[in-house]
Amino acid sequence: MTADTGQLERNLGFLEAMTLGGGTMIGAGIFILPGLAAEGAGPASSVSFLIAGFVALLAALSLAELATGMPVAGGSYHYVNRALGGVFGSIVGWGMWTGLMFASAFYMIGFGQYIVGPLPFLDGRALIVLLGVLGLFLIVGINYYGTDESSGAQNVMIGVELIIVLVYVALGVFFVDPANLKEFAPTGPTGIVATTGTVFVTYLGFEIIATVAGEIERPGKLIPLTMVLSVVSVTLLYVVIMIVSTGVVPYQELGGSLVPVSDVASISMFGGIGVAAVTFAAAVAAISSSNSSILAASRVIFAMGRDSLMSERLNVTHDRFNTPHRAIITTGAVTGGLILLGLQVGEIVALLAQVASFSFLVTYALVHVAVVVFRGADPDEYDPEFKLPRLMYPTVPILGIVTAVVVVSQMRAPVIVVGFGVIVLGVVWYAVYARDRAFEEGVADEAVEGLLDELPDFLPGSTPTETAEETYTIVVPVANPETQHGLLRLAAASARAHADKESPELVAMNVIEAEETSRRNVESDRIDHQHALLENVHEITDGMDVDVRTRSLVEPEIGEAIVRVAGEEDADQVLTGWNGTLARDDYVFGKTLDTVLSEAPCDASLAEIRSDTVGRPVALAGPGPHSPKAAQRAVEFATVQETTPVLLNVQPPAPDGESDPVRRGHEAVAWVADRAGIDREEYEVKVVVDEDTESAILDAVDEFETICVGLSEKSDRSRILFGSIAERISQRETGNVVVVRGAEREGEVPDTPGETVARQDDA
Amino acid sequence: MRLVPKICYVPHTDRITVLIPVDISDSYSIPAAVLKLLSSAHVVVLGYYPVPSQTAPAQIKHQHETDAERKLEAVANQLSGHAERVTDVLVFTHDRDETIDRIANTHEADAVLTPGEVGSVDNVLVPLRGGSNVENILSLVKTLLEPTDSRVTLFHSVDEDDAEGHGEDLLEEAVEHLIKGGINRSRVDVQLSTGDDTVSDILTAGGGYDVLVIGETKPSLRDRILGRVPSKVLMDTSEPVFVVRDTEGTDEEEE
Repeated sequence: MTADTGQLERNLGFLEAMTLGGGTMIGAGIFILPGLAAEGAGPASSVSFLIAGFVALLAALSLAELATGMPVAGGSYHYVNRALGGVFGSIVGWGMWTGLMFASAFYMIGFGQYIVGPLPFLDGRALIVLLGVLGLFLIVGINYYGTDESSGAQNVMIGVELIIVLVYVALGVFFVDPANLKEFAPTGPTGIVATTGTVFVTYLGFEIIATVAGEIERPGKLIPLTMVLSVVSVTLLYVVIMIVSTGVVPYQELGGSLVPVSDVASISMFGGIGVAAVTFAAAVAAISSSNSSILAASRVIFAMGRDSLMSERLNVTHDRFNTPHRAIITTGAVTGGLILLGLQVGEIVALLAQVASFSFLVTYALVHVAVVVFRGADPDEYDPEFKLPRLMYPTVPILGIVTAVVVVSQMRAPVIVVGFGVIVLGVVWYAVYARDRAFEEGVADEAVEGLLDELPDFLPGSTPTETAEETYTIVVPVANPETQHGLLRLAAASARAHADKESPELVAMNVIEAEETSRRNVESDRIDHQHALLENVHEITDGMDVDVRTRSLVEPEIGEAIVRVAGEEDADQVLTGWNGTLARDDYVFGKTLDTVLSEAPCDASLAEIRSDTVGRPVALAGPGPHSPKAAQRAVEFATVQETTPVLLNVQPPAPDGESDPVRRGHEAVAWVADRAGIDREEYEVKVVVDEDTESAILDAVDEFETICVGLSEKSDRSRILFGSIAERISQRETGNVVVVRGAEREGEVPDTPGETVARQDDA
Repeated sequence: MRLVPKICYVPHTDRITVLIPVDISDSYSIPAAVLKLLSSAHVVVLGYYPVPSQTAPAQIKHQHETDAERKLEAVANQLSGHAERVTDVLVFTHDRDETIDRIANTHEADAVLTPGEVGSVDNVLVPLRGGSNVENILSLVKTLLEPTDSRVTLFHSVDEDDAEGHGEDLLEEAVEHLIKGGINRSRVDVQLSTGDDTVSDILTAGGGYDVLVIGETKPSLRDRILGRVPSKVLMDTSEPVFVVRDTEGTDEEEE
């Protein structure tokens, strides 16, 4: 049985991603925004859409790079949090959540307006608000009980809606009166930019694709494709719609209308039939857009909870329906409150749209910053499939930030006040709630370091010797939480032993074994593992007085990944765990460990951790090319509890009394110690004389808590034999067993103590 | 990361691989009679946890993984004494069908078992739809029948005027195939039907059957757009059904 951990399926294909992203974008906005836009900029509002579309396209490009680099739930929030740390994470998380709530309320008021519009006996703002709340109630209800992706109902609804919109455009073209377009930009450039701030709400649709990035098939391909495609096609559609709408109905009239598209349709689409069709499409659009917003909001809340920036209680899923019902109810309640504000505030629709735009403009600006930070820091886990091409980087992020700031600066005072209120909320939330809980640190610091490394000559005070300092690096693959502590402790001891010449450094790594398949979400596993790593490794090594870094990888072969990392880090040693048994098939220690032992370009140690303490280590100072390394490790490990290690040698009794076996043993140990560069006062010697070497070793090591054994490498056969001694030791012992292999140096023939040993001074 | 040595790879042999999808959010146990059929098969138990579109699969995994693993292990343990080899897979998914397809592909499953209720297996009904996929269907039938003494009914439905006797030829060849595979002729029945409604023909065929073995059908265009509808036979039957995958045709389907 393979007893894998649970896999996460990627179920959303091209069509689903387009319905979520594009559907939301052409959704509600198309029916409400033409009125607001015409009021703000006349026929030139089509230019506003072009500008908004351009700003969105820049954001979509940056977001696509980040989303393919880290395709997991949470969208922009996750990337900003990873790049810039908890404060900005909190700002963007809250900004996205509230932005989605404002947008949802905006859609639902539009829903009310379109229902009330064609029915003459229904009238008044109270009714609009009431219908909006009822519609929202319906959506929250559906989401509470949960829906199934495979029904396809949403695809059909949005398909019908799209057809109605296209018919509207196609027929409308014939009714355009050029006289209506004569006064193209009545409010001038400032009006156009200000209107951009209103219509930008449309473009939070592609963000929804990013929030469900963890569920999209072939994320490397589909995420950039659907994001860019939806932004471009929706922008073109809106531009045409604005020209048609303001061409058919004069912008002054259109601007005053609550149901602008119905007004146009009553002229161009056969009167009543057109109005009915548009009303139907508007209702569908509002509901599907609002629905998508709620889906996206619960993903953001989940992602925040994952980083301890939000209470996990909000993320508990329903026992029976498996929906995040608390998050959905909370989102729905706040959205309902915003809709009810419509009773008091006259311009509620524009205000809701603009606040949502503000939040997402701020979010996208920070996304651009995040791209720059990730490029600068270049953490190992960041390997986006879609990368901004050379010509676009850093132009896209810089232009994106500048344009977002320009659009925000033209917004009305109350919007800016509310928008900044949300930012302050994020900061305060972080300071009061999250700071002590969240452990995620941004990679921004690394990015700054990266830049400093690149530009040492230009920066005063950074001396090249600092960066060029020698480090003794040990790569520690960690996987098992129970033995992690023991491994790191041994590694830290081993690294610190070199502190006089080189600065000690540990690289804790974890590999998720997976092929890069398109349908399975290994990214999410990666995040879970990474968090466990970050939390535990840093906790454990705190106070061990070594530099610690962590690396998290997804590779098909664990052993090869370890070897590769050891090479990249220019490691001096790899210290990995071992379960104490030998493989029964073609492998000696198992596929992974065999790869590490045979290919790692440095010392390699396999440690079976079974004791909480290191105690007094013993090394088998017998023949074999790696005995000196084993002795060296024993000396290093002894520093943990400041004991003196024992070097053990077993000799057979003298066959014909030619030389004293005890003396031979001492000579052999001295030879090993000399090869390892260990001074005489650093170890004690124990020599056992026995016929049966193996059982003598087993008896002698019984009292020790940590046993270091050099790997025998004379032939495949003896390797296996030797492995079996190590295995037998590990079966009998309760303590730790470390199998040691030194770095292979070319041209150095592994030799054994011979006659030359005699010249060792036995001080 | 696992540091225990991996079980060495067993090359693909004649052994039949059967995938059993199990809704792991529910309680489930495999009927004892079905266990017996699987004695010489490699069984892949797919524990799938259905996730509504409102929830990120990672979120459900976060909250229910331990529980789901425990349940899956219980099902796998139930099987391990009976089947030749057992593999278990746990997946959190929005779409059960997609997951079944993917896991069936990665494990090269020959058939997918939709579990049902059954007391004992005395008769296995095998409707054959024509030349396609017949070999795969018959090798599965062989594997299922070997460890039991159940009977098998081969069924084929033809148009009114099957003058050339294609239907009879098909059934005759199928019987030959089974006999060659070591199934006693006395255990094999054949039935040729000339009705219009294939589905109801199948369901009423042979009077009583306990297990159904059918070949898979390709999803139609409508199924692709509107999402897949379980085949009518599957919907109308409460007995265990083995759906045999058309392994020859699957390659063309891949993009």
